[in-house]
Amino acid sequence: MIDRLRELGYEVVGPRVADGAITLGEITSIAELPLNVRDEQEPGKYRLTISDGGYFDHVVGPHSLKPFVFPPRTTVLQVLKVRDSWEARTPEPPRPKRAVLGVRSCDLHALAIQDRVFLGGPHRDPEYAARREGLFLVAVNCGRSVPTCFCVSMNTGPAVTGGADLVLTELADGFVVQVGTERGSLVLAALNCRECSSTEIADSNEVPRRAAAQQTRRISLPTVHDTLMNNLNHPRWDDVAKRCLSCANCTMVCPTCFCSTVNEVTDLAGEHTTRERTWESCFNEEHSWTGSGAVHPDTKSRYRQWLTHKLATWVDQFGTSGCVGCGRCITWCPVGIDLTAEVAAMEGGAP
Amino acid sequence: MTPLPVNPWHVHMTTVQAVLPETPGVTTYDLTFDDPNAGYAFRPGQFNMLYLPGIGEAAISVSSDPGEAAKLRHTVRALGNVTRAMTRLHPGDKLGVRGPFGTVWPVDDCRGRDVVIAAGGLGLAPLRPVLYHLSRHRADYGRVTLLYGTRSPVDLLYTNEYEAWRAAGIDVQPTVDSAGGDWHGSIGFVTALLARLPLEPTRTVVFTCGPEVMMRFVASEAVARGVPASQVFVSLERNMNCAVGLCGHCQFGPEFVCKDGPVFPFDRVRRLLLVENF
Amino acid sequence: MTDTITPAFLKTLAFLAPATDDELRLLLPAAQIEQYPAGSILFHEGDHIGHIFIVTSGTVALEINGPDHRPRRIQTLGSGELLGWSPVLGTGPMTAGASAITQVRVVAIDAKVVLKICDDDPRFGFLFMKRAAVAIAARLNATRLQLLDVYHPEPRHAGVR
Repeated sequence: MIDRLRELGYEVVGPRVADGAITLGEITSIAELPLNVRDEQEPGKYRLTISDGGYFDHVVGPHSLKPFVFPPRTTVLQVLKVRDSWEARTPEPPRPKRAVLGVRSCDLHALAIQDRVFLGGPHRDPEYAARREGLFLVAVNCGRSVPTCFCVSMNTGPAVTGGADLVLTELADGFVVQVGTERGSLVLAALNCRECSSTEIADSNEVPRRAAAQQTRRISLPTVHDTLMNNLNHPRWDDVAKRCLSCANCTMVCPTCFCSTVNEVTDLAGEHTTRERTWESCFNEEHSWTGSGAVHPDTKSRYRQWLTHKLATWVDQFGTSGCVGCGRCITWCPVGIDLTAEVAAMEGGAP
Repeated sequence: MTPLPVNPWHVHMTTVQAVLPETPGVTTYDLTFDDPNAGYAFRPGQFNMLYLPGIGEAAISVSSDPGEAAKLRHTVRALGNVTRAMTRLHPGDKLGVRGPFGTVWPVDDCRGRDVVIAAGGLGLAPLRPVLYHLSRHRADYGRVTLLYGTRSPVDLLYTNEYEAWRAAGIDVQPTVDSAGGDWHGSIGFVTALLARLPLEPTRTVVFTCGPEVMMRFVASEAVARGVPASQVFVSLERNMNCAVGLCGHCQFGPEFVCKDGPVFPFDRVRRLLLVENF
Repeated sequence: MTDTITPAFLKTLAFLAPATDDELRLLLPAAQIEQYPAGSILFHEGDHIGHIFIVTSGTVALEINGPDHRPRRIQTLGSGELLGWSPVLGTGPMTAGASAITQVRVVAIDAKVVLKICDDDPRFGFLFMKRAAVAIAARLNATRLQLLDVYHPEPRHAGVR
């Protein structure tokens, strides 16, 4: 399949072991996939061990689909000095063709959430649209959850229910493939496959069920909006502020965070300048800077901004939660802050 | 609704016609569009991103007459990199303008009503387009009052226009927090002027702009007098970067101040305005 | 211009607007209209005066002798507002002076008479003092906002942008 996708002009990206983690990068053959590698994830902890679980015994690593459609750095305007004035041009966005292998249900839901943000408003982001169109998604049904996963309670998994071109489920002796789109079926047509037996179908349905049963963390989706918005002065915010380092890791690994900043990048001669959009985090003080100071001057107000946006005001803005229960923010927080625990602590109201 | 710019990054180049010092630290820039077919138009309350290539952008409310969109005016306090660099502009220099963005003071909806404009400090600049509009269409409105507070008499903006506004039938009441011996006007916070103003609350609309603490108290005073909170409008300021609701900087709870605001009815933002550092 | 005061007229003054008709009838004998030309002094800081004032028209400036020993205008009052509560609270000399910026008309109410009515009629006393407390609280809040100096904030940190 990888070969077929490359033939069709896609750069194929998949999970592989790099820098002690399973990250997404270009792959050219199945040999590069993390066969029999398992990830152990806890709040603030991530490590890899050996298993016998196959190619996809791992769950999500620090990378998501976000950088493929919302690049960390891009140019939005090029400005040239022309006689005594300036001429500004919006560069034509690149249209890469990229196939991503091993996408999980949570990340498919995250992509749908980002579609609403970047394509659903009065201003469609042309760069996002161009990159999104060239994205071919080969999803994988998770066979296990790690303790930080909570997609079940967020209704975002673990079973893939849509949004991918092809869906794979790994069994002991091969992969069950489901077709998601016309594009997907064209790729499949070139491969050496056979129809599944009913046993194989039953086995493949069992795979995500197994993963779901392992989840212990949860957020109460119907109540979390009001729990947070009715407790904006809860003492728990002071408590989490003592632990949070304002390091912004959570926003970087989060598959839905979309904050950016546009800055001026100029050459020394002053003849040519560009405006570049880069990722930004609400944990940075500059994020809320106004003429009279930062609106969020301390870690407490910034953590509160992040959590209330992710789980509450996002719903008011876009109609869905901003969180898909992937658990990355819990795993990659250096001090192991668990947003499900923070929400639970406020559920009873002020003590 | 003014149509949104097709490409939100599109920059109109303008030429600086005049640089007018207003009050200490505050300057007004008169701009004209280089492209005669620029087709730029704005409505009171909207803002532009003013762009100095090589330095950056700053979000500044439009403070000119909406009936004369070809003559764009911005009143700016020199505070950050861009606004300080702007003070070095001379007539003939170029300035980029991206916009207009944001929601508007609902001057059309409040025809027939009494209008109270309560401004503080630089907050009179985003309200000046309203005053021009009300002057031009005075007969469409009931009693129109401008309550304007600043720290001291030298900080009062646009004093040379008060006579024209009074002549147009607007009751202009300036006040200052403190003054020396040669000030014979009101001394006190602008809420004191509002407390003294006879009102028919249900037919009154209040537009207020200034420091957030001032707007909070003005709005609360208006509501305490019986003006419905949905008839009190505030203009919020947050860090504007993209100006089109995508970069996330300007969020105030669920609102993107650049596109759901900056003008908001008070009943929509009242609860969150009371939460410290939200 | 008539100098007759009626309960209806008293009711038009913001300070007395919530008063009952009975209260107003009791106050009538103690009340009289006074007029001050522009530039004149109603009372000096430190004076012992026997009246409280409610402004009916014009602008009054409150002044305190400042660090340079000259009167410093700190606040102006207008129609409907209470001016001078020390006589009624019995707290001694006036804590600020008052001068007329424009021509000013006030209703002056004899403090001793008011206090006697308060003594004789506790219900009246309670209502009157409550009203005074509300007016003084509003004045305090307005003064706090002046103190906040909201128009020239110092940024919390040195400029980043």
